[in-house]
Amino acid sequence: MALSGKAMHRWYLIHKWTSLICTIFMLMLCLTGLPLIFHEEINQLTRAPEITDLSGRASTGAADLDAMALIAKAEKPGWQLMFLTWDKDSPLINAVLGPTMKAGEGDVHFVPFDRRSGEQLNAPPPNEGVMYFLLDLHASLLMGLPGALFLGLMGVIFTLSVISGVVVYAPLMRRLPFATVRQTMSRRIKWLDLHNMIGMVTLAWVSVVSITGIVLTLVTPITAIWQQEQIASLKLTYGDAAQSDPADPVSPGQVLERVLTAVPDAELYFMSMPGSPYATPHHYAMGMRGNTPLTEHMVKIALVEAATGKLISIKDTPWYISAINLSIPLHFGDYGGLPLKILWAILNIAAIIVLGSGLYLWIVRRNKTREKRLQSLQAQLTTENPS
Amino acid sequence: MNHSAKHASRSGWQIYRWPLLVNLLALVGIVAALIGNGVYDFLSWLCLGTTVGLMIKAAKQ
Repeated sequence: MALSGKAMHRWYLIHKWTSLICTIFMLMLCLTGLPLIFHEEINQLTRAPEITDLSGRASTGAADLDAMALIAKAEKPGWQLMFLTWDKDSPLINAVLGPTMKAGEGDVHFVPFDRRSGEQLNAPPPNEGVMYFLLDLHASLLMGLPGALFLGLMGVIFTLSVISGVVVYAPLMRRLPFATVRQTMSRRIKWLDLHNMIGMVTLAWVSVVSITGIVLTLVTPITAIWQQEQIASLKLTYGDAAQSDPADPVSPGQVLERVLTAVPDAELYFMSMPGSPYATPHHYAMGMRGNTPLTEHMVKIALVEAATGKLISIKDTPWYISAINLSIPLHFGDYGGLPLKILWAILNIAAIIVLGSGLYLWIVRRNKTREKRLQSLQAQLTTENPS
Repeated sequence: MNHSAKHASRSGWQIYRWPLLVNLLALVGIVAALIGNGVYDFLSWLCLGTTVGLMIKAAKQ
């Protein structure tokens, strides 16, 4: 790590400029991210649907599912059913309708049902309210795909700032043991030590959260690529015959029945209608979660031909889709109970302190350089005009 | 942590070995809860909690 003074200065400049560019956005992400860690608890308290206890009732059969689809469609005439989603921890099924099959999350309409009775439930829509606003701000600055991609870029710049921060840490610590916070009169030195210590201790966490965050900004393009690949590979296997528009497509209930025959103990996750994201224009896609803690974030996809109801394949998603599915828990910290969420929140606050102290250190240093310049200018003036 | 003489210049390894250890511990904590429940969750809280505790202790010096 014996970098020359010149090289080290270059690293310092990288640290300064990358940090200056992204700090304001990172502060916004930390502040909005803090309540989002507890999204389950907050939503449970404020927006959970009233579900009466029906324990012992069997789960939904195919007929119920088709009835749900009809009830949901009647609520928004002219809209299309895009997805049916199964909640993981409650007996809830959401029918998701959109004005078009490609509608964004902010534009869709949710109709919740109790999966045991098929009864429609009353619940505030999950794409409204303070928590949804915070998530939308956090994920895309309220600007959809361009906003998300911009934040992804900020994430990349932040990662550069973290790497350069680790490099410029060395010369500052040549004579200090790890985690020293010097007790001096200088506020600058105290905050410099805190910036270095907290930054270094939270390095692994910050790296995991920022890299998974960057991955999540790419969900839309990555999903589109996957859909194109699926369509292309189906065309290759079945030719154009399988690509014709079904005049009389099978119903969601029939698709569910077909999939459950093949996988009786399936952990249902979602059903994507033909033409919507995650499916193809001519196939239903049924997503299933894994049954173990390690695989519950992974998804298996069953493709069912809309025209015939034929089960085409049951496949693991490719690595890049698994990367997205693993990035969600690793980003939000909601995969290890409440204690992990609390640790996540403390680390989030620590990151805010590192960002804030970094900004403070830059301002102090800037004033100092300014003072120095002023002094040398004055000295110059007095030597030039001795009077 | 306080073995190095006060004025001797420390090598890169000496500077980075403790941060490396602390961050490996944090990484074990982050991954453990993903692998399983129960014991794995507990291991996760323990590892990540230790790094957070270290940080708070150092800040309070």
